[in-house]
Amino acid sequence: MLYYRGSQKVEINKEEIFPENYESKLLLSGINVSPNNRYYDLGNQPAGNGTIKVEYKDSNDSRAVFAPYRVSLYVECVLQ
Amino acid sequence: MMREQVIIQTISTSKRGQQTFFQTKLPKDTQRIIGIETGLYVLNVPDNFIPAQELSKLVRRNNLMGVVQLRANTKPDVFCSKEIFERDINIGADEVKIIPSLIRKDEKIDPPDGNRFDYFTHWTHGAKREEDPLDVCGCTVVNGLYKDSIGEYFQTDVNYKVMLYIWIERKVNQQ
Repeated sequence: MLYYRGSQKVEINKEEIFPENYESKLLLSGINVSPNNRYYDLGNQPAGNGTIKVEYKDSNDSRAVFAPYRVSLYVECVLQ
Repeated sequence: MMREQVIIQTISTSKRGQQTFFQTKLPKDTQRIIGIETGLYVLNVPDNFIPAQELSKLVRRNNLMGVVQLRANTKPDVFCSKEIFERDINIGADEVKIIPSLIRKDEKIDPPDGNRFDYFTHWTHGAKREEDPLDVCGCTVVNGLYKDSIGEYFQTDVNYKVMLYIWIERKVNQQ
């Protein structure tokens, strides 16, 4: 569902990482990719205030008729 | 300090063989274009549009939605030309095919094959997505042309949106 219909805007520490309408499937890896390599590398993006703001948008696509679904975001971070 | 950013351009198509010319303005401090990604939303399809997951059993042609070409405003040449496909329907074609004997006896039932993952091929076979790398300097406006192919192929109007993601590198003053 997310693959065909999803897009989102992502902000970290009030800095826009992905703009509105950036498709979710571009951030998605299949199970062929090992779990540690599935993360999208932001290149040591500072956590700042530690707030990640996500605006997820579901758009119509005739290849996937809408049904309720859940979207999960996994963030890899370094703790001091 | 250099900073990467993505610029999004939406190309809407609703008519058979439609050609769309578009311009995408880049920020003034753009140093270079570093990559291109594309996406697709199929909004409304006619009845005779065959969903790709039903084209199983054989290796078949992917549905070509159209072709996008990009030019930098400072140069006459096309720096990027990309075919937009609905999806890769042959992604599982080289999988081991397991045909249970019960099914094999009944010729009316299609035996399962590697392409029968339906809509989940991107999940079972998909790799990590990365942009198509480019290195185009001195570009402030991208002139683009998109030409529809799927409508010509099915001889009907298909309503869809192609998303174009232009990754750029900007020079940002550090404060």
